[in-house]
Amino acid sequence: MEKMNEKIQNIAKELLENKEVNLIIGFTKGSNPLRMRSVFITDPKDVSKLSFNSHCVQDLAVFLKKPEVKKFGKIGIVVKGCDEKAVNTLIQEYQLSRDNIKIIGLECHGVIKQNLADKGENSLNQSTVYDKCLSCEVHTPALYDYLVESDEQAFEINDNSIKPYAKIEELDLMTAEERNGFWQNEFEKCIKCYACRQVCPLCYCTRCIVEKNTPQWIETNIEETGNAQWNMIRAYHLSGRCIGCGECERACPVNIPLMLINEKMARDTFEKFGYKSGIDINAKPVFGTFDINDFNDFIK
Amino acid sequence: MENIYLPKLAVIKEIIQETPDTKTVRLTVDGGIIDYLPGQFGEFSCIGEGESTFGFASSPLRKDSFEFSFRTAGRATTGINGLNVGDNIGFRGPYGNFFNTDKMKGKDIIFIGGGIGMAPVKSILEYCIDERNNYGKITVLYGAKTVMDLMYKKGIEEWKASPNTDVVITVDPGGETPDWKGRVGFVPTILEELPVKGNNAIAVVCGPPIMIKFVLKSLEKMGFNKEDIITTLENRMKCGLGKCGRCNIGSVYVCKEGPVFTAKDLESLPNDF
Amino acid sequence: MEEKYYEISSENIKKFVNNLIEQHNEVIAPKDKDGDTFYDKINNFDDADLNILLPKLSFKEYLLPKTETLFEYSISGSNINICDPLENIDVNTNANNSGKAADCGDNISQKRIIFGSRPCDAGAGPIMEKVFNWDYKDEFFNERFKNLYIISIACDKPDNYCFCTEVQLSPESSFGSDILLKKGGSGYYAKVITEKGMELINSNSENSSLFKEISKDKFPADKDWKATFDIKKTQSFLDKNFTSNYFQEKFLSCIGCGVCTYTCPTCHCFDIQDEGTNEKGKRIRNWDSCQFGIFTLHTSGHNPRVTQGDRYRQRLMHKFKIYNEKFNKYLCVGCGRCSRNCPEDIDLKEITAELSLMESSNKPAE
Repeated sequence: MEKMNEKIQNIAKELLENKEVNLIIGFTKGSNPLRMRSVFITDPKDVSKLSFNSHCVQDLAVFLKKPEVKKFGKIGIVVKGCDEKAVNTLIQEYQLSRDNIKIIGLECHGVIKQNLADKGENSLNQSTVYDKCLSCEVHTPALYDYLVESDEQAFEINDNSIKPYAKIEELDLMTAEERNGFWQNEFEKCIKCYACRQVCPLCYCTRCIVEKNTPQWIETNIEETGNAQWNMIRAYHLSGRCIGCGECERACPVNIPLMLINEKMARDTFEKFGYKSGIDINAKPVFGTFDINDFNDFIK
Repeated sequence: MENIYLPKLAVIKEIIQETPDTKTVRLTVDGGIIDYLPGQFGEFSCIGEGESTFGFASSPLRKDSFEFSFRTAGRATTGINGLNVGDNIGFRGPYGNFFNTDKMKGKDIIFIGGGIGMAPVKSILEYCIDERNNYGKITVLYGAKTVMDLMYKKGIEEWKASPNTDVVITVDPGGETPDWKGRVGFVPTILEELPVKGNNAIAVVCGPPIMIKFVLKSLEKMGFNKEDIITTLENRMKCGLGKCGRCNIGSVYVCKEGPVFTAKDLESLPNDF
Repeated sequence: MEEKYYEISSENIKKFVNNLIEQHNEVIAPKDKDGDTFYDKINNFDDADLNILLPKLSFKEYLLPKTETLFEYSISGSNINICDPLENIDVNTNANNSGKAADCGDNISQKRIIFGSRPCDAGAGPIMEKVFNWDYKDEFFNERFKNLYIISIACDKPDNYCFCTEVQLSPESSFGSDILLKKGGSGYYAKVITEKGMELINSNSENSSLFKEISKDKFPADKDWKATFDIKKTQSFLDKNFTSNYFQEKFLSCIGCGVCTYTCPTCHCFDIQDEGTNEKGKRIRNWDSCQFGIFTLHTSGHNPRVTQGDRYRQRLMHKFKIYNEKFNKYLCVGCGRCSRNCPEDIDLKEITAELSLMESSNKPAE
């Protein structure tokens, strides 16, 4: 990874020195050798802090919604392919100007699940990466100003029985009651810490619906009803928008498999509307547009 | 076991529509009032909609009822706004510290209020008016954004009628109407034009944070000691009991160690309000 | 109570726990759930996972539930009836004034036994007890605390995120535990600290026969745990540097979720809300977090804490300055959960150590 780090550092240095950006958001070493974290660099002297490896799980695009970060104006950001889809969606939804962002895209073969890394896992293979990495179509980001190629070999998928988000098919086969039971069990665990929302690069509402109380759309309790309402409203608000970075599921301290909902919504959106989010900054958001040819068989 | 979160049921005796979005509610508990002092606050609730924190807006020497004023903003206040005379309001309190009226005795007092921040000022002002002989000259400076936003029209008449009392009402520039006879200007500006001096005098201030900030500066210019400038702060609160953890300014919990502070007290607090 | 010391074999500790379960006690222990460990009810000793360092969440919810009923109401016409769950407790045996027992709220008198907690988690109760009894007594907390029995097992290998020793506890501290177990001998050595601990041991004749009393000197002495930094210096930094730019820079990476506060054993801030229909419902308190922007937002739109730097500073201030000034305890047991669970890898031990170091090197705040 040394070559890759050097390239990232050189790009960052150049961008800062030429005043093309005021801030670089990238990855740096974290609290233990198998953890990485974000770093915010304004001084070209500090670029040596930047590095990348298969433990860079965070989607740094989340910081682009933060008022304290927006203040910097022109920003350079280090992104994996999945993270870059979030940048695209922010541009597409007028949350970010293409002129204000320099995208340092990284070729990425996948990142190791953090819960495994925390137990010492350090090898990249089909059973240690996140499901999103198994079905990844953007090992090279779709849009970038700079591309840093990986020095490492992609791992091979040699066990075809490993299917990303396999549980979705299982859930599809269940009766509505069974499915409901499954999710009720999962949502019961929710503690409403809103890590899913805060870590999501696309949850950028300045006042979330759970913070609005006239009327009280979502019950405030951290129990069955309030939890189900919260998690479902969030899933709906992200359908057709979620770019599948999986940060909500990673951040969830009680392990709710949130990506099963998000991925299911993404698959349905593709099936019904032929739309995939985060690919094209000039595309119109699928649920922000109306097309006379949209299916309408749900109107009875 | 005592449930410190349990409200008493107060009965609404009168509702005064002060401005388009503010009201004053007059209440009794068990036919009388609860023991409170000017500066203290309570938790008032529309049962089923939620609780909100308000300072008392009446003189505790008036034993028939007590008052608070509110602006309709969130769910709890929307609930309270929908109540009628005779309905119940949940009440917990009184909480917090209060104005030191002993220290005010024999002195001139200027009362300065901005917008709905006039509510707690009204409580101590009317308390002083009720014992008018205990205090020197009283000056009232009350400002609102526009003429329409002026509250306490009945109160203003009463304050004016009190002996040795000057009442100055002002609205922000642009907030006046053609027939407005009061002053026009921001509270700190008007304040500095008043014939008030800081010696042997006390100033009582409440209003929006930005107004308080500039009024404190003006008062110091006018020769008031920091110990003689008393303000009452508001911070978002839930429990009022020092437990829910959100109203602190540095190490000071507004609900327990406040809401009444002198300008001297404020000086020692971090800039967290 | 004068502390008592016992020896108990591995087999007997299993019998003891299973007896407690058979005696219809709710026993909570670290339990595996989809590859992670959480405190959960166990039906058998073997359900417990005692090999891990710490469950992902603390057992705070048994002292301060995620959602707790403060009272229930019913409205008919202009009549409002309020049912007080605390009065409900008193009328379990005798009727209240109106002659009929009230029935509302949650069962806050449920006896619960935490088995296999760690000394850090055990310390949280007596620390939080201070604020819940600061002038006004919060009997919801007190009643739950009174009915919570804690059997801890001392740690032998704290990890890099642990800093209990720094916050005046230790991996072998018995503060807050009713019984502290230490591995050794034929299984465990037990130190019984409270009457509640004795009550468990003496809960029936079989249980008391499982424990063999030993003298104090037979109980393994604590290792010489050394703090890696001086937390008092952290406090003194916080005392002097409220406006330091450190907070704004450091917490640029904070995304403002509630993971640190919600997985923390001692964070206790809450919100109060009404929920229900026009006819009936309840007033509840929910966990709340100082990391949320709306936490301190005034109705007017003014917010005393604008940035995430302001908000995380509040968390540091509350834990390492304000609480200690008021109650002579740090509001932190050094369990390290906030660090382990933080999605952005913000490490509280690293930060408190850094502040302490900055203070001792007298480095001026930026």
